Amino acid sequence: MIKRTSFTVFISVVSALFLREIQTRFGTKKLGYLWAVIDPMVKLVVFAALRLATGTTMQGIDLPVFLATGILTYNFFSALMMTSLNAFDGNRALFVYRQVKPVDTIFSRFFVEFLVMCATIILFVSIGLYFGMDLRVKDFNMVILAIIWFGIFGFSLGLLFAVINTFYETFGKIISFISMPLFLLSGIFYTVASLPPLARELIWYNPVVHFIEMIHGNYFRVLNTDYVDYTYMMWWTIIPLFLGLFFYKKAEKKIIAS
Amino acid sequence: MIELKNVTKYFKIDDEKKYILKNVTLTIPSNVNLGILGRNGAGKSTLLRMLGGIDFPTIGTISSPNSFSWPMGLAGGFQGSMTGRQNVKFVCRIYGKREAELQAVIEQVQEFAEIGDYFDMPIKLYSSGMKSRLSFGLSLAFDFDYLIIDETLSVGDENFKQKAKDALMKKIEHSNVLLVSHSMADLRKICHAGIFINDGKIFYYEDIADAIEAYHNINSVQENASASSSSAIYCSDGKCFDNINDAARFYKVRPMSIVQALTQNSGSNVYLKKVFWRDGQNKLPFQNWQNVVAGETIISSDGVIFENAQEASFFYMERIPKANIDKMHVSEVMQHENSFSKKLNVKFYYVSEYQ
Repeated sequence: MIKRTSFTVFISVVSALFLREIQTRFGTKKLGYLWAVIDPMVKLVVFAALRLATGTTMQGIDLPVFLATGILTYNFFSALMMTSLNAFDGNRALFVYRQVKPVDTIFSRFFVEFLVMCATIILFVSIGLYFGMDLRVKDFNMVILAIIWFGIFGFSLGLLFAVINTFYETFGKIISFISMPLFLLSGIFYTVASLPPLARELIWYNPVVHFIEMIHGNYFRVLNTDYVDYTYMMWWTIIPLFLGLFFYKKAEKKIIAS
Repeated sequence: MIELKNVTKYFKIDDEKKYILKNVTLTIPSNVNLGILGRNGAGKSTLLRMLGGIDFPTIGTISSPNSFSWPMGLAGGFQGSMTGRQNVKFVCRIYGKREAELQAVIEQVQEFAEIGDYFDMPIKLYSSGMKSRLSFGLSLAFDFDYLIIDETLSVGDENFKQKAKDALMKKIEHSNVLLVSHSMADLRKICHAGIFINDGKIFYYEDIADAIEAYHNINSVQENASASSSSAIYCSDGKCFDNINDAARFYKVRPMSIVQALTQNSGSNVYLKKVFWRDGQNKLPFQNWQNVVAGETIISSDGVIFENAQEASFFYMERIPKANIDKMHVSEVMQHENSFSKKLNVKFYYVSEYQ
């Protein structure tokens, strides 16, 4: 057999897992591929309707666009975090192929979720254009940076949680419990500036808020990023990533063999 | 070549360490087909997985410059909701096959597995036989330095088994084999060298015949030891014997027949249709022989059960050298209508028909 470099092996494994993941997640049901994008869109429509029903409006912003920027990116982040939890367990059977390393499954899920997000964004933009919404972006590059950073943040948490979850199964349950209110506490439906001072102080400790604020502030002309603390975000990305990789390296053989 | 350096492997069960290997240093040379023998639970499969790089020693290192297959015939690496074709594609992709080569592999596997329309149906609808066929066919499509085989040479019906063996023999011309098997015939046929693993110790033999002998010796020593410790044997017809030999003499069967019943079939002797149990143990209900291999399992009129004809001929060759039976005597006898061997003064039946 021809010797392959470890990088080419990594690439072929991740891409094979990527295709497989897409086939099993969406390809087995009728309209499966459509479901992948419908799910976040339904969320979007429900919350837009709720906001419109309460009659709140924001000066200079189309409400659906405001919600979409939050929900679609948050969906990307949380899917990364939550699907990684059982990535090792769910793919245990594949570790009989020695070139499949557990971490590859998390990489492949990263790309799958990224693809899903891109597809929903494209769908949303076409709907937005059709209805004549205001889709203009203030600082396109910063928005892209924020989304990618958000993704890396989700990846690091996902990796760390996946390793811990292999050894302490209750951990996963705790995480899914915590993540339920997280959706409401992440500044997706409101801006931090619009909150009362006490709530502002408290919500500030939630790192996800910073990412959403960064996206909002760079997307809309009328909003700013005054409340975003880049150092805080950096710590929240680097520490889980380091711990995740560290524990993974220590536990890799155990994960494969168990 | 595979190098083991100071390898120790144990499992922790209730804070007690169960050793499979204890500080083993060993080099397995290149171009050697290796058979691994040991009793059930001795750690053969774990050793095999460690050599193949999908399990790891607790202490020490195992290194090799060669490529290894996944454990062949295992259906474990398949995704149930995907079709056979999709699963084959997946494995090709992780082995870095280009899209152009994919089609050739798929055709080859499809032809070998002979599962027809099922190839495009989800794997969860497959029978275990179909899964093994697919898996076996798939592993033949790649070129590995070492093929890892864990007791899967007896998959499927007679026809497929022969085909699989032929394909494997052809494959072996270019690659080596690491084989775990209970079939001494297969081990003799395929392997050159042997590893015998017992109680955390590992013995490497350059000749597989020596390894098999070591394995038999350990087995008989343990049989004798256990026979003498609780020697009294009870039978379901109310009789009691001092030891296995007495019981065997009384019922006119070989002692092996009763040993087999006691150790492998929870006391039930299929030939006598009686249940045996040792002093101090409980009587279990009668049950038929469970490990019937695709209608090939043979029972002889002196009570012993064999996995196949070849195993039977080896058995008699060892016990009755005077009869001078050549290798395939038993299978020749089986071809005749009354299945009676004049040389051995024994009649043979297929277990499936006898029951």
